[in-house]
Amino acid sequence: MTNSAGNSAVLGVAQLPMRTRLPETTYADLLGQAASKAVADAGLDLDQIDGLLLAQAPTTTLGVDEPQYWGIAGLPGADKFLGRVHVAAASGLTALRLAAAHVKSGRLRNVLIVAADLADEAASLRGALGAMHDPFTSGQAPINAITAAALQTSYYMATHKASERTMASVAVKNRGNGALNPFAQLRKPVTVDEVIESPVLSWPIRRLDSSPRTSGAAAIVVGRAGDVGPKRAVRIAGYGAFSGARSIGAQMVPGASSYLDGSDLTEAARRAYADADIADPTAEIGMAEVYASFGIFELLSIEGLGLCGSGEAAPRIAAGEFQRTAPLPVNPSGGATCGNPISASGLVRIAEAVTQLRGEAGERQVELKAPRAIVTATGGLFQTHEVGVLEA
Amino acid sequence: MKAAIAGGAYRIERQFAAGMEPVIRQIVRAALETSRLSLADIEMVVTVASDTLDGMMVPVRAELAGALGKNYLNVPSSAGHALSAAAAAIEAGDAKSVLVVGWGAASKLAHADGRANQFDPFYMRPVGATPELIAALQERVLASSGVLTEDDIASFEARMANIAREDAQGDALGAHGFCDGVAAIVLRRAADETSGAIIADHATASRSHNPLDGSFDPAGWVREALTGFASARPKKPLSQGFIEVSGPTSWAELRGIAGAVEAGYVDCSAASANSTGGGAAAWFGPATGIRALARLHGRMDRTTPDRGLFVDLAGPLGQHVTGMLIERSGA
Repeated sequence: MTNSAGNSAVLGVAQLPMRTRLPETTYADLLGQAASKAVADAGLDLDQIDGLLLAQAPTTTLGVDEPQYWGIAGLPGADKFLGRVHVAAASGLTALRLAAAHVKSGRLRNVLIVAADLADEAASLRGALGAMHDPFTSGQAPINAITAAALQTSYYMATHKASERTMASVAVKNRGNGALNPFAQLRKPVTVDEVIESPVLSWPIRRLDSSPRTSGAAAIVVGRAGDVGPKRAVRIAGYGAFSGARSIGAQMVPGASSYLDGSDLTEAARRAYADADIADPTAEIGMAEVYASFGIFELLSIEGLGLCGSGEAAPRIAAGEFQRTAPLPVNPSGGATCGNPISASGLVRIAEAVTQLRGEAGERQVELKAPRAIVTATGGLFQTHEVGVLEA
Repeated sequence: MKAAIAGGAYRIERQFAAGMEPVIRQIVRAALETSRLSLADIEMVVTVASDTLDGMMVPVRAELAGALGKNYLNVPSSAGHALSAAAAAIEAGDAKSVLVVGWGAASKLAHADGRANQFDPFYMRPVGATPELIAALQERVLASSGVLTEDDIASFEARMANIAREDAQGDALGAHGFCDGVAAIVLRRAADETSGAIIADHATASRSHNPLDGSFDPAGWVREALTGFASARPKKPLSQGFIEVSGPTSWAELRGIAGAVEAGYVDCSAASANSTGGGAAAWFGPATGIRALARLHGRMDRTTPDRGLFVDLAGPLGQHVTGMLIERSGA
């Protein structure tokens, strides 16, 4: 699967400001706004979109099952709907893979991908997400996204002798970055002390280490690299995916410890790097936007992507590496810590990376040592991994 | 590089007594056996599992379908969308072999139709919209416009129901043909497959649940989908060809067949169409169309026509259309 991304590129991106509640906005409104902005960003007319993908998951937060039946109404390309993709929070990147396949196969020219979440429509987001778990195994245990991440975090701290203060540096970095991002939901910087003193959700996860409940939307247009000006098209240089085990318990035993050490993500990254002909990611990658609804996800992602060794990410962030002004910035947008519309989170990562690679990020623009960005998305409880490499 | 269907399998029953999981595993194994491949040969897995009829978390779906460690995609919107995604992945060079697995437990719709939750909460739900009401409205519109008669529907429904009963091994299916079902298809690069059926072309057409042009007739959407084929329309209709349409209702399937005839792709009567039994007579959700294709593949041999059409109609009105031009390998 070498250079499978071929000539496909991201031609246009859009995201809407993320907020806790958008009480006067419907799901269909959000999709329509994001879609029209992305098509305009690509410099295309609406009727030039000849394929549409809806990256929507989970639907529990909407109170509407099979949302494609009304969500696509009036969207560009809706008459050539290619389907809804639902791989939980990984949906944005799986949809990117699918759109690129349609473009590379020559069947379609410009595919629009849209996603939106109205998280405030569910009475309890944690309860709604908990309903996704297998009722016969995980449902019988006190497992939800927070307690599962707490397990990973405590293992990381014990294994690598990382203190709570060191772990808190991830949230401090990201909240500082988010202060410069006009799309971010949380734009107030925080200190290590504030993170440590924030309420414990499930030790050692604290409120400021966790992503907020977010409503928002994003959209991208995938087409051929030659179809817009060279400065605006961002080539999809490669991608890799890895679908993990159904139960996180199966990934916490000797020889199969990917839930604790991120090795499934490492395999997805290996596939993406092979696809993009990248031999040394630390030298050939300019920045990364990784899906991290908790600080531990970012640490395991940085290590799993091969940007540093095992157990090094936390102390290196605390020492100033992977910051917005560092040679290899990670989550210069502030990441999911500053806003996490789950369905759209993968597309937000792509939109941010494309904006940076184009040099259009304004106040939050980073200096890129190489014109390539990694984007990741993760589905389930850090179980299904998608890695993409974008190139200006 | 075009995609070819290397194998397929399916199973339908009124209700799977032991639940969905063992049947999914059984059908995946059976589909691989008919394609003479092992799971290790599969590079990508695509599932079709409706949120309404499933309730499984994504990693559970993925592992049940055999996706552990592989590229994985879940396309819950329709069998046609998932099959197109798989075919496009092969055409693009992303994968050499793709397993498409779909399932649904429509038996749970016997007493309360949870699909009502699919409708627009601001307009449709307050007026009491349910899939049954929408289908009745669509039938009424089609009948009053003269494109269907009750006799057309009755004879077609009876033939489809007979095939469904045969597939369910005599099991009486639920109201409206609701049943539990699992179906799987294995796609490979056409160059690697000598005995299968090639997906020579595929295209989609869609409307939202409330068609903005006011039309309720699937024939028009099928005609529109077929104009999206990259290959040229045959100079003459495929008079010896087959046409298999899987849809949410029998009248949607009948109009789908009419659309393919009107588009000039096939020349046949409703009586000779849908040898697979379509989808409405044994419906288990958006994945239902995979059963029709798996059955078609299992029956394709030297005595069957060389070319034909498979059309999947998903959605309450059958308004999400996928058309596929199927050719027998070596034809």
